[in-house]
Amino acid sequence: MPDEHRKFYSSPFPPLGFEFVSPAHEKVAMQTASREVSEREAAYIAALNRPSVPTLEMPPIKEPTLPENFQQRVNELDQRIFERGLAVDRDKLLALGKERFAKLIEADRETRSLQRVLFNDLSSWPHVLGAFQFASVRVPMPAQTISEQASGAGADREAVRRLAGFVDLWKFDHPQGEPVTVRNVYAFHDLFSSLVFGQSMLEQIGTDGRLRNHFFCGDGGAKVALFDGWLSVLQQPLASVTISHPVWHVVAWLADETQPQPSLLELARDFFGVRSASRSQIIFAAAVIDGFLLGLEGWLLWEYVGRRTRIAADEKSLATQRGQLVKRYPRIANFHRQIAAAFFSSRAIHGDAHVQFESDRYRTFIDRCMAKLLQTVSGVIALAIDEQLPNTLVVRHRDRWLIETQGKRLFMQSLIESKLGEAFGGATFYVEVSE
Amino acid sequence: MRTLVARGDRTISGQLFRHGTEIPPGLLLQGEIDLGVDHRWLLEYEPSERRSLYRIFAPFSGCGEKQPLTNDELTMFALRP
Repeated sequence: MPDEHRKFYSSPFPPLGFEFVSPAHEKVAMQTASREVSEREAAYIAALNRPSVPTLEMPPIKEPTLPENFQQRVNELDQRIFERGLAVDRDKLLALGKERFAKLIEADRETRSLQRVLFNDLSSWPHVLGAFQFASVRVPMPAQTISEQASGAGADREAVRRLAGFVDLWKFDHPQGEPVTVRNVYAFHDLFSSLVFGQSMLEQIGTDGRLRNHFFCGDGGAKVALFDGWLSVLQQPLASVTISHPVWHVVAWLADETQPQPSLLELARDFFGVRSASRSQIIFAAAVIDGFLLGLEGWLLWEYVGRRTRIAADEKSLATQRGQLVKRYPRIANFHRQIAAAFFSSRAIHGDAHVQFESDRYRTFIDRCMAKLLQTVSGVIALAIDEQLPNTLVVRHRDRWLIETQGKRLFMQSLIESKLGEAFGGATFYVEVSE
Repeated sequence: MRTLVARGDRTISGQLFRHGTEIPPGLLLQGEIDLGVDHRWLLEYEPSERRSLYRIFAPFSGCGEKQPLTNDELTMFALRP
């Protein structure tokens, strides 16, 4: 048959290479095509609405000047501290533990006697939280409203309404809360946590009367405060080296701050408008300045100060106090502004573009930076002590070092301050040595 | 190992126990405990409801029985080996 005639024949069979498309496949194909078109359109609109604020680079962060094998030497020193251990008087520890246990039972009785909030197990956070909630005790700040949720406002206020544990119990301490009960529960909890620490010390004392644990060579964290409560059970004589306000020294060095280190007494006087500041006011001032040094503000500063002092401060007064510090230490404030500027990112949602501050990433960066520098300070001081009095260092923490002097006098204050000055480019650290 | 708690102020073996306070393990015989519970002078709690402070801190309380702390408590407050 000629070729021009073949094309007029209709065949019941599909041509070669033809693929059948079922109705279900056709539906999926249509949906995919539709989605791709809408994504292209959304990307086009987002590109048209790209915000004009550029993403800023992180400003350079100063690094301390350290010898090449600094970290190796610190690790070796930590290993020697661990192997040496800490001499503990077991009998004193037992006696102190029994005394504290009796106080714990009394604190338990005292807390239950008030009966404004009824507790089952005072040592368990879920039970304590449940008891306060059952008594209709609430945190003082209002919840985020629907309109705030839609606009993204009030997110930090909402974040601090959460109660992470006993560390946040102070949030119930306000005029409409239960301040006396909160203080009683804290008295119980402090004794409970101290006894847990003391009991763990007792369980780990070796046959030679020495306690070996990696806790004694490093940051230590929140447990350092618990260890403070058991210093009297350590075998003497021990000397201690302490550094006042290490956070101030490090941040002032980072920000090239020229103003002198603040006096906490003067700060407390300024904040509260008094001539004679009380101990709690001084502690409050210390918490506020540390929060400022760590770049905290707003509700995050409120929570930080509250966790340190267990006081639910007035958020507006706290903002005013922070404002005073910003005026007093502008370089530190500017340092944090420059760092924070690098944590803004562009967001485009449904064609609406905006710039958003990544608070969590910023906080993580600051915390990590501070932890690293404070560990460096601790390492520099530890190596200086070991250089002057080898094999005597038994505890290395962030702001305290304990030395078994064996009767030797210590003349190392100026050596330590000079080593710190070398590492931190001329910064002045104030070190105290007490025997 | 239940926790024994005084209901109302109770004097036991010359010691005064205020309402709601824990009675040390071993202070009362089982028969005395049963009588106290029946007469509602004493309350018994399971460890999941209320733990015994005497058992938790046995080295300091002198109690012959022990109760372990939770992993979270050991992580937050204790020296970990």
